[in-house]
Amino acid sequence: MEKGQHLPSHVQHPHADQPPSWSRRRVLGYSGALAGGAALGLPTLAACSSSSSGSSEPTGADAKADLVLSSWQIPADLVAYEKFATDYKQTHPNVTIKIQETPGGDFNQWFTTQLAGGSAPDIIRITWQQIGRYADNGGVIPLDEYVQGDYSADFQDAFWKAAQLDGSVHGIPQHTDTFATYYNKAILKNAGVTVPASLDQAWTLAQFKDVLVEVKKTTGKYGMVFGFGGPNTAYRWLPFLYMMGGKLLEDDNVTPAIDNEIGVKAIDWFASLYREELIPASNSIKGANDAATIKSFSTGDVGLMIYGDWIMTDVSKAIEPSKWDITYMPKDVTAASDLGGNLLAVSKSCKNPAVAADFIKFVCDSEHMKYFCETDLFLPVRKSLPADSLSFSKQSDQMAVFVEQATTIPAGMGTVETLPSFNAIQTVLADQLDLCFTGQQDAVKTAKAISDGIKDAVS
Amino acid sequence: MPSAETWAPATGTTVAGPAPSRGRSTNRVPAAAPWLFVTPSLLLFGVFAFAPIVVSVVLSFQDVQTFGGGEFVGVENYSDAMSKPLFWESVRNTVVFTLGTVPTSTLLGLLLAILLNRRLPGRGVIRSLYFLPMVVSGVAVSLIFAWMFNTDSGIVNATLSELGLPRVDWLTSPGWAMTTVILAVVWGRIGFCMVVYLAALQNINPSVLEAAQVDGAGRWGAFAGIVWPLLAPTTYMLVVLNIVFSLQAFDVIYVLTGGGPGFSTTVLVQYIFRSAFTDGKMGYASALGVMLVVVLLLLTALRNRLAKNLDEDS
Repeated sequence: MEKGQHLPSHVQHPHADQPPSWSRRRVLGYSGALAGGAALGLPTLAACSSSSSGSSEPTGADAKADLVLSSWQIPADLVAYEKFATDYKQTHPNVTIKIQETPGGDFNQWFTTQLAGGSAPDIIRITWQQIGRYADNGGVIPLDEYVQGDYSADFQDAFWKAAQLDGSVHGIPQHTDTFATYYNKAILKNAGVTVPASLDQAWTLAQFKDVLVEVKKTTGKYGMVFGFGGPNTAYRWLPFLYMMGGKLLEDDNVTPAIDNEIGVKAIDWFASLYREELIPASNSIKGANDAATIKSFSTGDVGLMIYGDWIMTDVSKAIEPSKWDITYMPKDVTAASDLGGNLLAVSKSCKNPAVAADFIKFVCDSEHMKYFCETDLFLPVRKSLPADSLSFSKQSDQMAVFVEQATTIPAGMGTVETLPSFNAIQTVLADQLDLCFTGQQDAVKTAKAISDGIKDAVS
Repeated sequence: MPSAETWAPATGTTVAGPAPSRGRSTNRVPAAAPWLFVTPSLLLFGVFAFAPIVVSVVLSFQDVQTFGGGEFVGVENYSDAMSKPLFWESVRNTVVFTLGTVPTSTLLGLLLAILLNRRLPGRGVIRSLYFLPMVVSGVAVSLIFAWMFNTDSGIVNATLSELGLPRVDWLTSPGWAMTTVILAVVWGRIGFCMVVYLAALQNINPSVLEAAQVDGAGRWGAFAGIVWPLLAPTTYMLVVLNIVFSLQAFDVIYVLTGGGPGFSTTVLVQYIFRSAFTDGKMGYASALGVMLVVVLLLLTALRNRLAKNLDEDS
């Protein structure tokens, strides 16, 4: 399962009854923090027209098109997109939008092959980490002519800038998400561990490791599992680098910055979790999968699981919701967490790009973004939709933690992960970190190999 | 010894001679007839096999992504491969994988075939059971193996623990992962080898073996002196086919280990796939593919030469 996906909600949870445990200022601060980082990257899109579309293709009630939208294999998300397609058809009777599942397995293999054959879906749901590659090679088309005027004004600056390549918009941000720490209440109680009550009190990495040791003694097996999901998710390790004060690239977004004391320390800290069998060896970058990770947590093989908000429904199915809860990510010199989420983009195979872009704008407008995030447990990316204003359909207490944790996503990390070259960088990360975490290479060699690999990747 | 023509029946029809003619047009084979039979196959081969090979050769001299135009770079993709440690590691892994799978599956297939060539109760069912893995999807086999060999919850380690033996990191240790992959592939391939050997064993004239027995040959003597030499063409064919299968292995490794831990099970075809679709380097991946095709062609030529020499000797 790719980042930013989860299963449908079945329980309505009136968020209004829950006192918010986070600050709106903080949530908006996240936007500001990311914006600061993104400002290091790409120039803003020039606003030059009040027209909603510069295309001659009709996009109003007389528009005609048969489109395909492909999204991850998450039933609830697919249901939501079906609803949006039906709603859109009411005002565009000659536009039919078929929703299909993006096949599991290697996204790049599937999407590039479809693009090469000219049969890619018209609209693709794609992650921040993936879009750069396809914006760069022409797999997804620029949308500038369809998002003119002040269209971008309501999007959080960091996300809007992350959707651009050389100042040209290649996708419209739909939502974000992040990581926090799942814990088994009984196991932690038996281990004598108290969970942090606030973000400020989050465990330090040293405290977290002590907790893992105690939890391992209680489970008799391991302490935790981490939300790796194959080589395409190696970037999920990066928050540990950034929370130690390190970074992957210098501010020029080209020069590697990991081959130093902090980089080696961050790699070695995570590798030590494997060496000391606090994480199962099978939970490696290349070896992990969602089902096994959730199973380890639900069966009590581990007491802690660091993973994203979108799997809460799966976790609830595997273990009774009253038996687990969410707390914050550990921190070091600063707090940090994962950048998740998706954009909607128009592929180069699309024959009706204006209609496709119009539908994307419909899905990403304030009303539908709110519905999607509340129903499917995501975080919105519009300024007019602060996450603490949403009434999540379930697990609202847990979502509150994720919303607060989202304020810690490092701005520089977000900028790096949305670079066009990040796909190649991530391959380097997956290869070298997996070698280290499986005990085939020490942290010093790993940091140097990542640095050398990045030089090759961005050259 | 009579010539082939004299073996023909007395009706006047000969094996090598022309058929009797009742009329000029009735029995004449039109010159175009062979082409009508061959053309569909040629077309299919041309479109789905020959053309992609030619395109791959062309792409191997270009710097080209999955889609869009390419730029001619000469032999740069080939020289790049030679300088990349991962290429050589994948070659080394391919050799280890091939050495681990080919002799094992061939030998076990032979042993099973000898066993099931005897009169046994339920022989047909047993033969079918052994062949079953051959018709099961490689992906399904891999998923079952991944479950069985899971370090923490797999049935194999559970059994070892019951027996008081230490757990083995079947899929998570670089040292063991290749062994596990080889086990999965051999398990799937034994049935194929068994069926081919079984057919060859049943083609051996029983009177030859009876004659050997009369001459005082024991079981081992009859096997070593008569059966094994008569199985030699089959063995050659199986060895070459198994080498080709092993060089092309992908699905089991892709599902079971993804080439890891690290690169410990990354074989050549996996490296080609990764270069093409993960790295988006179609030209480089094509160069790797062309190199693999050349190796396979050389192996096939070697096999043909050996088979020809064997025929001449016999």
